[in-house]
Amino acid sequence: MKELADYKYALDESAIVAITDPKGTIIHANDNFCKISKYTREELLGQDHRIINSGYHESSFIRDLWVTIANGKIWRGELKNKAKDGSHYWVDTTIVPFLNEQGKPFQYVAIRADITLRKQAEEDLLKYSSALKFQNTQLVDFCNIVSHNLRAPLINISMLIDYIEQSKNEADRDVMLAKVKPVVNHLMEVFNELVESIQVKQDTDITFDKINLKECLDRILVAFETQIKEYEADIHIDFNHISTIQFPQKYIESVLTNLISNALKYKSPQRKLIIHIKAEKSGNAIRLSVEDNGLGIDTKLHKDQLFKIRKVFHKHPDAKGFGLFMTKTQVEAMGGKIWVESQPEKGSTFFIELKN
Amino acid sequence: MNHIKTLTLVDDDDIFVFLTKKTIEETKLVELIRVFDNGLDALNFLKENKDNTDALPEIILLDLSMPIMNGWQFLEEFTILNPMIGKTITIYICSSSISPDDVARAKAISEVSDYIIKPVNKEKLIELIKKL
Repeated sequence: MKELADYKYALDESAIVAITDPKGTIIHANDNFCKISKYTREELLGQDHRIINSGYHESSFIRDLWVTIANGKIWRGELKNKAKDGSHYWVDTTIVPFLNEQGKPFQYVAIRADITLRKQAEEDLLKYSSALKFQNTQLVDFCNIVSHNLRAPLINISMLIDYIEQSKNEADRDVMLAKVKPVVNHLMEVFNELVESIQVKQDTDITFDKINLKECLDRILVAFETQIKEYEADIHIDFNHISTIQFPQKYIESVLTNLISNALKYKSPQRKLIIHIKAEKSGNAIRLSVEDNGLGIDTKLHKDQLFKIRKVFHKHPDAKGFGLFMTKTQVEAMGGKIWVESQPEKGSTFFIELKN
Repeated sequence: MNHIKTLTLVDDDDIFVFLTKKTIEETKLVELIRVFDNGLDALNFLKENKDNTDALPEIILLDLSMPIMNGWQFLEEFTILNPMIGKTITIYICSSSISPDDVARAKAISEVSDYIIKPVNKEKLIELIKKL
């Protein structure tokens, strides 16, 4: 008997122990259990064990636990539980069913160890590694930009100069020489765009402003007034569900300006242009959308290209391939998402989802 | 001397096209140079002329980064089209990209004979034509 009491003492010192009846009503809670759950023993006894459920686990996972122990088998696993103050803790858990003569469980003994710190470290690690992965993608993107977009004009300059050096024809040389300047200008432009985009990535401490969407959009539309009148474009605005968002002022203006400018630029000559601009709730996020009935984009063909720098999809003289690249950069820098649904000759809808 | 009838440039870079065209003309090795500034136009031309072998090029110099349809997308479509064409068309990728990813990706496509990093000089062009 003394030995048994010693065992119990040792267990109570080292582990979180709870005993429930077959229905799951708590009939014993040791000090460690009270401490970690932040309930008093009086509050725990007689309560359904679900009092500490966090709601984190899938119902199938919990069902599997109950089936295991109801069949008289031991269950082992990691559980996230909820303390009285609403905070969460993780426990490594072993539940041992005690069986009566008929082989049916008459009580369950749950022996647990606090693994909250380890779980937190694991979560942190996951968070860091995904952030690292994101930065690595950005680095690869940047390498590609440098390789494709900066190297191309440099090659032009080098080929032109080679030709000028070798050419013996004076008139020919003048023609070539005249071609150098525009390339240098182009190079400068790409270079400035790159600097601008890197600026966004470094603007991590930029402040979020409270944006009144209607006011913000009205300011932007004024800038496009001439085009809107000329095309007789219909613009429908629906900010009825969401009227304000949290976002850096200059980014939201730039994002909306770009999307509206695209809708105007790539309108279809076949139809009257209609643009729908909408803000709505989507779970915990806010979803902005700009929908047009314009030329559309073959999203299958251009899936990887759409938001990249210097990619254009229409033969439009003003297509430069910087707007969507910059828009994506600004949205993602703020933890948002951007995507498009589009069909050629039907129109495009750009979606932006912002955490708010 | 190995003369060829047609060489096709698929490239949206005006300066590169202008200089390369001029350089090839100077070699006097090519009768006709056809230029397309994106993959789709080039592909459509090949499709329309797949039975008209005389109009088809012996060599295509293909850029990667182009609007509307880029070089990779062109190659995907060309791979499907190729068995239906009654002529061997040699494709060289000709890109300003020095990214190892691009080079590796090109090497994996059997329709691509080689990956040439721009700039391309006269000697290199002569070598490509004569190798045929």
